[in-house]
Amino acid sequence: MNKALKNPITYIAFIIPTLLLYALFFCYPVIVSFIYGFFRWDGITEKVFIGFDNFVRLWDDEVFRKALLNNFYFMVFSLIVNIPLVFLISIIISKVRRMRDFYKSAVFVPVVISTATVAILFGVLYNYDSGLINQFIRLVAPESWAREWLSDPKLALLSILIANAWQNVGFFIVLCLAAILNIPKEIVEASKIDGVNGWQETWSITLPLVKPVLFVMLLLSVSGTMKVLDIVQIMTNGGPFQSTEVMATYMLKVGFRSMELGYGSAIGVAMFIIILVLTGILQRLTKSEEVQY
Amino acid sequence: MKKSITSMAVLLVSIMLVASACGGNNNGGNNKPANEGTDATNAPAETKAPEAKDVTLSLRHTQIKETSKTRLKILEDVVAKTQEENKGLTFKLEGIDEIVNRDQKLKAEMAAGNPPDIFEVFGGADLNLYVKAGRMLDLTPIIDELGIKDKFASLDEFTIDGKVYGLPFGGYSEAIFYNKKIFSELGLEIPTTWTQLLEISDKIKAAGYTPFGLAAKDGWVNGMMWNTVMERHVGIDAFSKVVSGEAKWTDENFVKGLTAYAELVNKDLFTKGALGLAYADQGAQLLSGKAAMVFTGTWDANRFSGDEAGDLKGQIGYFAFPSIEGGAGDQTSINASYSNGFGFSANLNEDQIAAVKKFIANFYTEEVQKRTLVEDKLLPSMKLSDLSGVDPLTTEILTVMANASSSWKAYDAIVQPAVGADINVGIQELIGKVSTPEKVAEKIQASQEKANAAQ
Amino acid sequence: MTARMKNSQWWMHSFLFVYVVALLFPLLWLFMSSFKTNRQITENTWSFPTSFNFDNYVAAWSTANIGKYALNSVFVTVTACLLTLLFAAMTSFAISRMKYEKMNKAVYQFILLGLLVPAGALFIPLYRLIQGIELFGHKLYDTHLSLILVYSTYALPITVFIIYAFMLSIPSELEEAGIMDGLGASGLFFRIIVPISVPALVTVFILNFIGNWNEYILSQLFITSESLRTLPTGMATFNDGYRTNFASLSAAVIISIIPVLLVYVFLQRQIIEGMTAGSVKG
Repeated sequence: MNKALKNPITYIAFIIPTLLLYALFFCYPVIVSFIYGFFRWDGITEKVFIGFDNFVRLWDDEVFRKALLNNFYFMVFSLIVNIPLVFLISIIISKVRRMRDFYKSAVFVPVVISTATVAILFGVLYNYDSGLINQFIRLVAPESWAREWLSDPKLALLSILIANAWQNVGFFIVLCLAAILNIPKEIVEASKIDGVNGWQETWSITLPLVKPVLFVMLLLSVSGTMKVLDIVQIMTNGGPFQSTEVMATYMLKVGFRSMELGYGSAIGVAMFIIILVLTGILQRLTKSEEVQY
Repeated sequence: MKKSITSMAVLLVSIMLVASACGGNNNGGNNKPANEGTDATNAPAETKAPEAKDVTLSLRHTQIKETSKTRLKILEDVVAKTQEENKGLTFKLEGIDEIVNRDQKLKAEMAAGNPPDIFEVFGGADLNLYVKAGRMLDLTPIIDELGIKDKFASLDEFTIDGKVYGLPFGGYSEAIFYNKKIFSELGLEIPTTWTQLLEISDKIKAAGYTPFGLAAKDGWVNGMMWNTVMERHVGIDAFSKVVSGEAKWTDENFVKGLTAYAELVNKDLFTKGALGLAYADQGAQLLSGKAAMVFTGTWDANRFSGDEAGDLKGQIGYFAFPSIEGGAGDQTSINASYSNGFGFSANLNEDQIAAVKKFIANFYTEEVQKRTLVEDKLLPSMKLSDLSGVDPLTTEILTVMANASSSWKAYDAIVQPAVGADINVGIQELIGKVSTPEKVAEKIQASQEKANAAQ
Repeated sequence: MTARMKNSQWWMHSFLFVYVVALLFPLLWLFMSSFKTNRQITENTWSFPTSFNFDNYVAAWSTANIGKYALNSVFVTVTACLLTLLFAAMTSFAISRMKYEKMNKAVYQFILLGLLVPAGALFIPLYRLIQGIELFGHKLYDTHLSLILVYSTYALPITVFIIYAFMLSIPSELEEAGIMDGLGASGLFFRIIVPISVPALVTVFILNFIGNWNEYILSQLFITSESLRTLPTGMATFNDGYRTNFASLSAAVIISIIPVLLVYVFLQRQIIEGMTAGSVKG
């Protein structure tokens, strides 16, 4: 019946602009930088084709492994801390009756700050001497509890994760809240008649109904955390002694500072493949669950 | 189904069109032959650009920050003067972020062979590559003709195989800035030996101050003091020897140097939590009166003598790093370098080279250098005969430099970039107390061997 | 209203209040710092300003050329966002509602790849590409158009991803009604789907707006002329790696976030109000 929705001219007209821009400004640079990955190249002088050598080297590169592991910490943190927090805050905001607009705006404010500014703000908060966090700790606990937030290798990554969460959670809350408020009233009211209480309602009705948005958040979290760059670069630049190095910071250091653009590009290719596999798995998982549902 | 195949085909064709179009365009952008300018360089040097001829020179600088307004003004004045003296000559100034330029913009242009006509460039590893690729204009005939070759303090960092490819506009030296108030309050004298340095540091610490303010997030910041401690122990030539393979980082003196640096760390003489602090914080520690000393470069002199110093204004001094008893290096030498400069494109035509000559003649003068020293407190890259009107801190700096027995350039201008990066990691490991001098030496040596093998 | 419900409201408000205070504290500090001098910030980092002195704002405005740069930023950001939105909405509509199953899937997955690539790896080839492109005899390099096209492109994957998810959840009854009324595909898109999708469109518009508004590296790479520069260039003026002018920087940041907050506050009602028209599929 849907002849209207099977109109090849409209179809092509609707997808071509996107694909053109995408192919030119995105695919072309991607392909070029993939090709660099097969060369030994300082970025300026003649390239030397070395086949898979860069990738072989990557396999044994301890720093890369460390960086990959840190990306996984990032991902796990955002999956077990950020997303539940987003969901919790969204649920609560959806349930309050007054000041909803205020909360909705307030939680979003950090999102508008540029990463460079976020890094500076948290640098000041985390300062060992004058930082507010340590000052607060000293107020309520012995001096020895004060921590070197950004320079203790055990804490530095966590400190970045918190700053990153501070900056990013707001957007997800707005997304999630929109989905929750969008649930038709009839469904909720029907469940109330069935005697479902507040938290049961959240668990058995709200959660399943906002699944599409949850999937969006999951996928953005996974891809976002695996390619995270700015916040790490500005807050610690991978330090101290590479304990917070992530793949993207390592890629740029190798490519630009150590002048091994070829190897840097190979790191980029590896990142792409890793993220591709992870998001592929994620898509599979969510699909199989939908079938069960 | 059939329809979707048709649309698929249309899509593929259009993608291919885009891809090929942009490939073509890309080549179109790179059509300047890379060595076009090399011939022009050899052209007779005395050609004078006819007055009426229209010549344009693009000039890329990185003086876009609030703190470099003075430097930009001086450059703009020279440009204005040169334009006025040469009708038909126009400079197009472009200011962009230093890091974006160094890592991406200039690099991409160098690879494509279309750098700006005049640009800021660092001596050392960057310049090496650009020269190797044939992108830099050989300035030797120009400075010979202008007779300014011997007026520079040092052209070392811009000289490759006897040819000069860039001209420094300023320099720096690295030693210790200190808070005179704290020193007089505690009755301390300026230390001249390592032992004395450790003694006064202990006293400073006992009095509740941080002996050495440090912000160690970025490797090069730690590298400064480490570099001088190492030089005192091994001598600067040893750094070149590890590159040529004649010496090893695991040799006795190198390990001694690393151990000495670790001693400073283990006595807790540095700011606590330093590894998480950005460089700007280091100066703040000195100016807030929390730290008694910082080891850094003279580029901070402007800040230390400015308004931010508050009641410490005029109370910040500069002294040379003390000598280390029994070390193999030059004990009164100093790290001083003239690596910030202007480079010129090898693509320039004859008229442009003539214009460049005029620019160089106007920019590299005692007058401009003096003005930069007085207004911007940037150390002159040329020898100055008249040093009147200079503020006290700058005078102290110039005295320290005049008293130095020799000067040398930093390790990261000597070793390969990849080794430099690993040194920075190693120093951070020492500061974080997670490794030993011996282990750090081994790690750096491994990286050195890898880099040497790749050459 | 029962007592228990009132009680729970109270708890939720306290919880949210604590959360919001903790969240906004760093910004409050930034705001306070914008009225202090650098010396005061260095000495007494956390103290309240002694007076409301607008010197920093004046300094930030003039030193960082904020007036001029902000106009450029508004133009580039808004144009790029609208372009992204139009293209992404069209594409999302085509691949979520139109009946070309295999093609839809292929296009969707293809665009999704854009979420996986670290943009930092692409700057050098991208810069060389932009330098090489000519449109109607004019170089693309050093024009606002270069930024608009590239910003639009890099926002496309996430925009398509979110809008697609939303459009997929629109019940087909609405469309069928439209078809009954004799609408074609583009009629359905503009008259029915777009109005319903406003909440999703607004959400991604805001997200992209923020991204473009704060973008620094590409604008440094593509723009040469001083008169075409965008706002982050002005912000960077105060932070040169060697010393940070906190006082002016905080004032500049406050100035730069005001337009974004205004856009958000103005548009945020759309997110929820528009939502009631559509409904989410379980």
